[in-house]
Amino acid sequence: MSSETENKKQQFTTWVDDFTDELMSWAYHKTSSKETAEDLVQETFLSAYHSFDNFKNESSPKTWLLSILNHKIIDFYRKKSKSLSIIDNTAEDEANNRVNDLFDENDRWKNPKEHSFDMEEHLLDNADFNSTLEKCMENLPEKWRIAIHSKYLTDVSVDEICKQLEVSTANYWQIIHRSKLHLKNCIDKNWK
Amino acid sequence: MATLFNTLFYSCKKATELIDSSEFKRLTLMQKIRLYFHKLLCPPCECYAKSSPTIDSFLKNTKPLNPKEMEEFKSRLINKLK
Repeated sequence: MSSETENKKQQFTTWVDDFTDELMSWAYHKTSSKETAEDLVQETFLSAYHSFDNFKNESSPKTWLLSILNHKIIDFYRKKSKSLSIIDNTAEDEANNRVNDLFDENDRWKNPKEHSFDMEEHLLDNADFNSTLEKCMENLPEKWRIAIHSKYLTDVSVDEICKQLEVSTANYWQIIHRSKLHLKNCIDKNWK
Repeated sequence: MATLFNTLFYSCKKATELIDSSEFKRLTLMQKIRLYFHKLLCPPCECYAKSSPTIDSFLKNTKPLNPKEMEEFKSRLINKLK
């Protein structure tokens, strides 16, 4: 192996170590899916590796990698077909039904719970709890997940999110509320 | 009985909605009073009111990968770059 290739490999090993966290967070915020984020970050590093000669030290490596990642994200959304939104409509109907089903015909709790996981913020340090939370998030329709992620993990404005998701502001807050009802119920059910 | 309660102090469905909506709009005094009595008389909704901010903080702090997964992902990446 030439020393040049060896250098390049060394360089990338350092970059992977230094920047993967941030690239992953960004991709995750943008796509709301762990698997998609992993794929996009991997593609980013592979593209960067193959076009390493184009990298001039004018920008920082992080900026360079982020700009590649952003292109990957745009491509990802471009490729996503319209059919997905039809599937998501069904998922949304189902989720709405599940949330409605928490209440009886008088709109009171069907299975009232008086104690829950409140005041236990340290739960996030618990790996089992995290995987429960993750599974509960996966059950949300994609649109709701995007709404949740953009609200809590990015600084995108509500107007901007609503435009992206093609919903009214009232509808958006309804989505946040329903997602929270769903999550509480799901965590109560699956976490002891 | 349930209908009278609902009329005076909201249904649970409506109450949970108001609990979450207080984040983006100011409740009127009347709404606050009715919600207060609802929670007083309805432990599950009181429980929801406590859980709601906890869920917020969970959602604010989620990370795509835990430290162990992150290490595995990094070594997978490095292996691919050959």
